[in-house]
Amino acid sequence: MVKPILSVKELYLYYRVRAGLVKAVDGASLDLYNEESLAVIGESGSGKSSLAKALLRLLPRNIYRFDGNVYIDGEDVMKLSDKDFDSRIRWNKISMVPQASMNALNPVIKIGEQLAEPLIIHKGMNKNEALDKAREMLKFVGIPQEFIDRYPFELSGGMRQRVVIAMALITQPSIVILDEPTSALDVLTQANIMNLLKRIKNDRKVSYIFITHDIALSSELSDKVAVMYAGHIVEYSYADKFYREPQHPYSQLLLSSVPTLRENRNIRFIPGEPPSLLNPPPGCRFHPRCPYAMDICRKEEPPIIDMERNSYVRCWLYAKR
Amino acid sequence: MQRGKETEFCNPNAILCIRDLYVWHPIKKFLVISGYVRALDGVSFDLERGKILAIVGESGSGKTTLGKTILRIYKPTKGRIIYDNKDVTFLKGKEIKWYRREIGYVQQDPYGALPPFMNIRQILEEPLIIHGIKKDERMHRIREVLEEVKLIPVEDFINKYPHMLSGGQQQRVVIARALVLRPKLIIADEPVSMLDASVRIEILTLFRELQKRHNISIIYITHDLSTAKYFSDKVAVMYAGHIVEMAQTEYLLTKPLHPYTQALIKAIPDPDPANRFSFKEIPPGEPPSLLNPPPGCRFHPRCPYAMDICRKEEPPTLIVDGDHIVKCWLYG
Repeated sequence: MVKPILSVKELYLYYRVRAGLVKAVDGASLDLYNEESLAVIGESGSGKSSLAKALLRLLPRNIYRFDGNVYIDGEDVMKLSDKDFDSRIRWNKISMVPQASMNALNPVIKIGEQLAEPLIIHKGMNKNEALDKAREMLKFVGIPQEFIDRYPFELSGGMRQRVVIAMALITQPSIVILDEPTSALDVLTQANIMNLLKRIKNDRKVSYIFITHDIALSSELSDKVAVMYAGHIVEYSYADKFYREPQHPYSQLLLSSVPTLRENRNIRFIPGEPPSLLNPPPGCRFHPRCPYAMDICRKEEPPIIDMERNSYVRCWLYAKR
Repeated sequence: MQRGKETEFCNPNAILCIRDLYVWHPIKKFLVISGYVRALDGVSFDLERGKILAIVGESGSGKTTLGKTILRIYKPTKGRIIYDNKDVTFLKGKEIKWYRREIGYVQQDPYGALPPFMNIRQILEEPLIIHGIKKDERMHRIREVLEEVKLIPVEDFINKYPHMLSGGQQQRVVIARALVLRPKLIIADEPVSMLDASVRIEILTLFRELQKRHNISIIYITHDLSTAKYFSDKVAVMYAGHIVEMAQTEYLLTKPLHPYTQALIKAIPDPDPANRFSFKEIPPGEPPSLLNPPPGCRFHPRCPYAMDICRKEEPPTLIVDGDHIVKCWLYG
């Protein structure tokens, strides 16, 4: 059987803040296979960006709990020291296109030098080799090679985004985390960047974790979908099933709140507000907004219920009793 | 399709008539004007009473400038703004106070729009004081408007400060503030783009209800055609300071004429698992600089159908099929 390239089992990430504990990622499990794209969707504060940061170990200081198992190519990287993780895993095997990547570039360093930097640091190349590689990479993402000597402010938003994507790919990692890669871009630029990301996936054989709050956009780049709500993955499913037959009541309501351009349907909103991660409701975290809430949902946290093809849903409705 | 003709003058049913509006922001270098940002370049439209007009465009298309110019926050360079058959284009000082009372403004970022040191009652009372509403009526109006935006029970919210509310509730306060003077027209500039998906529809539904209940006219400024589809009667598409197409929402979406509108519609995905296999044909490039826009049609460098004339002459605004307006040489 094919082994997943990334396998996450029961990952926890809690932050300590003055008001208490923030349970940002609360027992997340998922598998990512080679050349597969997993869309992680959720509203703000659902823990999706924290999940990305936990996988790359880019963590702030106020960590209260960070444990679980993360296997990359079969190796449990949670056991590695920070130094080993930095030299062997980060950017060599897993890289990231950060949110608001327009601002992720250093304004006083030329594009080419910024692009070459990961190669010099993580691959031990000399500067000329690295710059050659940077030139090649710029061409690949559709930027003329003479831009190598330009500064970020001389590029448009879409071009800067392409540079950041080139930077995430330049060390040839097998996994790239895309954290809202198009959220600050215009509609047409966004569509062009999505085309580029699909082409890269086909040509370079990479796997994506695509984090987004835009449900319609998530379908552009998802073989699998993980829906996050208040720190939990509440549904983990396949795209061909998820967009047609979502299982969890939250997923169902979320999909029915998406305005569609081509299809005519009634759109509805989800009453209430997402819960605070500081003080989530007892039992199922979605129960105060759930139309099917039962007694047990208010008291006990729902278990992970396995469905076909290794998908799962965290909901009492599907529990066999 | 009938041959196009030039657009005609004001519509008597319109609450707002914009005619040939220009807003050029001067760029100053050492006190000398070195150029102009041509944010709005000859925009005309009518807004009918009790209707929602969506103004759709990308960043830098001039949609926010248009909203702020109608509110008279920006000064028009030339053109006319006619509100309720009165010319408000160049009103100044005290003359404009009545106009400010008739139009409400809903900003994009609700947290930034609310003063953090005032509670909800103070926030809603301020416009009432400025416009001289008597003290005993103020509390009544505040309660009424909070109920209207469904911040109920009112007692739970009235003494709270903005930071104590969620994003959706903050946006309701902003809407309540826009409504408290009982305006006839509301300008909502990206009112939901900072909110989560599940809350967005709730806020937009609220706008629809207000429009129906009070016959308020709304200008809904957005970059998102898919919400415009559900929450507008008419759509105007802007590109680089021009309205390039305007029609009833249904017609615009099913029969888009301008190549830019066609590209926009093509670019927006619906949630469909088949999307992951398909590539979209989208014009490359970025919107032009408004400092130095391209000659002729401003979309021509990106347009798949660009002809010779598009590179030289600005296309006229043509009327095709009733009230479907398009600014493109393909239909000239």
